[in-house]
This record gives sequence, C-alpha cells and structure tokens, in this order.
Amino acid sequence: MNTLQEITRLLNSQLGPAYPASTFSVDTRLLGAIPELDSMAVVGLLTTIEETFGIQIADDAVSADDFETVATLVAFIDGHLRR
Amino acid sequence: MSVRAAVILVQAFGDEAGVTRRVQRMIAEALSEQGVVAYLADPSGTGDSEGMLVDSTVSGWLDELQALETVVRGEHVGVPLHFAAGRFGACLVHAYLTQRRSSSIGWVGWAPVLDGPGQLAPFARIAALRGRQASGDRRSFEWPNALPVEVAGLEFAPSLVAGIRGVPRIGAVCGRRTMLVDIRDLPEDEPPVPSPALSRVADANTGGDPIELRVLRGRPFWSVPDPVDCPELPGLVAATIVRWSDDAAALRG
Repeated sequence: MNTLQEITRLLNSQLGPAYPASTFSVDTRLLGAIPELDSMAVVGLLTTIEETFGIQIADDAVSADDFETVATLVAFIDGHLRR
Repeated sequence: MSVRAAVILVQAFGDEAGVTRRVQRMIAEALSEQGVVAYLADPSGTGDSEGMLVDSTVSGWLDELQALETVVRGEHVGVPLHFAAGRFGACLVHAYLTQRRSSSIGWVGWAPVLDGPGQLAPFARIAALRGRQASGDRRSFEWPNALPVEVAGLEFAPSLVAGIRGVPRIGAVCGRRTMLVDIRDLPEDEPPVPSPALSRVADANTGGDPIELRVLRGRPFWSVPDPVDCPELPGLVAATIVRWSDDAAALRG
C-alpha cells in the first residue's frame, strides 16, 4: 500500500478536477495554501481517510500541523496505521 | 414469470439516502429483469418513512428489518431471500444478520461504511465545527451528548448516537454469503485494487464463508454534490443474487 498515492487520489476526489492527483508532491502545501481546503473540506477529507484506510482518527489527535503539507498528512496517516 | 428470488434493499443514512436513491432504483430494475423481486427498506425517521429521526433507535431499525423480512417471507414462500445495502445500510444489514434470526442466504454491501463510529464521525465533526465557530473553542470535536442535537438538517437523540456508535464493524456472517463492493475513484490505467480498509476487512475474516470482494470504478459518495452512478453496480448486484439463488437451489437438489 502506498499512502502517498492514496492521499493524492483522495485530495483530488475532495478538491475536484482543478487538483488532479499528479499536481501533488510531498512538498505541496495544503492548509492555508489551497482555498478549497476549508474546514468542511477537512471534515470530508478526514472521513474519506478513515474509510479508505480503515482507521479511526480521534478528533483531539488532529491538528493544523498535520494538514500543513502532503508529507505531514502522509506521516499522520502512517502513524495511525502503525498503531 | 415466477419469482426467482427476493431482495431487501436497505437505504444509506442521511443525505446519502437521497443521493443514492437513483442507483437503488437502478439496482431494483436490474433485479427485476432477472425475475428477482426487490423491496426497499426505508427505516423510520429517515427517507420517506413516517416518524422522526430524533425518535429512532438502531434496535428499532433492526426490528423493522425483521418485520419486513416476515412480510417478504409471507408474500414469497420458499423463495431465496437476500439483502443488498449501500453505505450505512450495509452496517445495519450486517448487524441485523448477526443479532437477529434471518433465513436469508446472503448479503451484498456496496461502498459500505465500515461501522457505526465511521457513520457518526462526519456528523460529530460538523456539529463540533459549528459549536467551535460559535464559541471560539478550537480544541475539541466532542459530540454534545446531553440533548438532541440538529446536524446537517437531522435531529439526533443521545440514544440514537449511542446506538449508531455501537454498530459493529462489518464482516462475514456465519452461514451467509457475503459480498463487499468497493467503489473507488481510480484512474483507468490503474488496476482496480480494493481500498486498504476493505482489504483488511476481508483479510480479518476467520470464520464462515470467505468474503467476496469486488472493486468497481466510480465516484465516492461522501461530499459529492451530484454523485455519478456506478454503472456496473446494478448488474453486479443482480448477477450475484441470481448466482447465490441458483447455488442454493442446486444444494436443495
């Protein structure tokens, strides 16, 4: 399983055709840099992450830092998968 | 034309029940073309049914599925019975088949929500987001437990929140055929691999018949204002129900 590949797909699904998966790299900045990634989009993204990876994310475990870049988001998910 | 089998379709929850209504109809039509009669379970307080969501409970919904199975059994004596359900409906069917008496042969869960907490999480986050915006509290997504709360146009009672939270993770059901259908937004040039989540559900199955896992291409159902139907889904559900019914008939000799 490639977490980065899955995440870029989910970002594309959540943000729409203006953000194809190929536009994302590990260094891509997310929260604050992508206008469409507002609070509701983060809620939707958390849901799709949970459904896709089969993990449960405690709400107090989520911080803005986790959504800073694609790399931090991948690390956040990988951390949950290791638990 | 004699009835080949009967299927109880079970709705998704909340907005998803509305946006998946069209594909439910397509599934019913595909079943009808194969001589399979379909019933749509619309749990009380949701969809078009009577009652209010705030008065609903998960155990009440399971009672309703039991009552509907009794009706279908009475109308089609000796006919193989199956369930097919999308999203949270799959959780309800799995809970029903593991907690109540059913003479059904199998169930198909498409684009399933994994468990009750998975269904509740987005609503809880929406509620908390609204509360945080109103109060300036930026720390917690805690669900407000004490009173009924309206979220996204739905009024949740604490008992319903507790009931949904207690709905267990989907999986195989002993003595029943199980198919899980993953609908994924995959590029055409990539193989249709299941999500890590459903792979783990299938791998974790240690009892009963193995789970049949299928992957279809289509748009995910959450946060899509106008979801695109998965054109292969109705045909897959109908073909599976017919296959399971034929297998059961062959076993009976």
